[in-house]
Amino acid sequence: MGMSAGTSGGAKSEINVTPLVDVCLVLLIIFMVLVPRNVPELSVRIPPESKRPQERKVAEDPLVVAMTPEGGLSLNGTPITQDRLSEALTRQLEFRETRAVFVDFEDGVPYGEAVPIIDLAKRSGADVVAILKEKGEVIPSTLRPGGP
Amino acid sequence: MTSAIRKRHKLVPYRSDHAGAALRPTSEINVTPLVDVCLVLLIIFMVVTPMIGRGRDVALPLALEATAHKEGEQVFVSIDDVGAWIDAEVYVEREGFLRELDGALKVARGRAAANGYEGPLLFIKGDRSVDFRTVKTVLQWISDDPRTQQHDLALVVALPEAG
Repeated sequence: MGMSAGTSGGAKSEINVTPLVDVCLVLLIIFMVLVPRNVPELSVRIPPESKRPQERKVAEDPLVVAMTPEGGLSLNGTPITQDRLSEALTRQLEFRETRAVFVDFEDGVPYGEAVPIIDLAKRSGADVVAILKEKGEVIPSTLRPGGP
Repeated sequence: MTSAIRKRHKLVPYRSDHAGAALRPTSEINVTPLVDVCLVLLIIFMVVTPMIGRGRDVALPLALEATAHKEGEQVFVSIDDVGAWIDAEVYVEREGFLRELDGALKVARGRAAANGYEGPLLFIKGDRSVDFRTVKTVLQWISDDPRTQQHDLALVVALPEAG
């Protein structure tokens, strides 16, 4: 009795949309964050182990880029700087049929330094970059250091 | 009597907004909507976190040029000093890793076929500081096993402008 909210606070017929809008905006932001992004990648191959000895004579010498843990680069055994390597690869790959480059990074090379070399090989015209595997190399069965 | 009260209230409209002494203006902020929104956020992130298969976050190596693929159908394998990660599980032994990867690849193949995706299925996210040998070992595990063998293995990189 007499405790009504007065005339100015009379019952309104509109629905209160503020919480609805709040939740919708939050949902919008979440889906904006979750939208699929483009993932940049460099494709590499690992040549499968050949079961039988190769009879076909390889027409072209493979291009092997090696790297030591100190960062020293070499192309087919000859030490080379990074700028010269790019030039040499571009020149050598230009007239090849299979534009493949093999990379042979020694143990201890950080992955963060190995990938730019793969990138360099790709930018120099290599279609395929393959990770070289030594003949008869044993693949360790654990990632623990010193494991078999 | 009622009309008399109403009349008096009309004379003091500021007070008439409040239904008598029971609802005096309070000095506390109203936290109810804030709590509502926070709870909704919490629930959504709880649901969504295991669903995004971007792999464990690592410091990706930099490259200047790379092929881009829309994420969604691939399997992400992260490699850091602890081991090889598939989703939130870390593996250091060959057999456990390959078994899990085989399962994940089967799902990914199905999804890729359904969506017509033809790019590489297996994305490798190596940490910048990890020894290349570790990454090479994992790549050799993958390519040496008929269950997980891939035509191309994609090394995920970061492009300089992407940060």
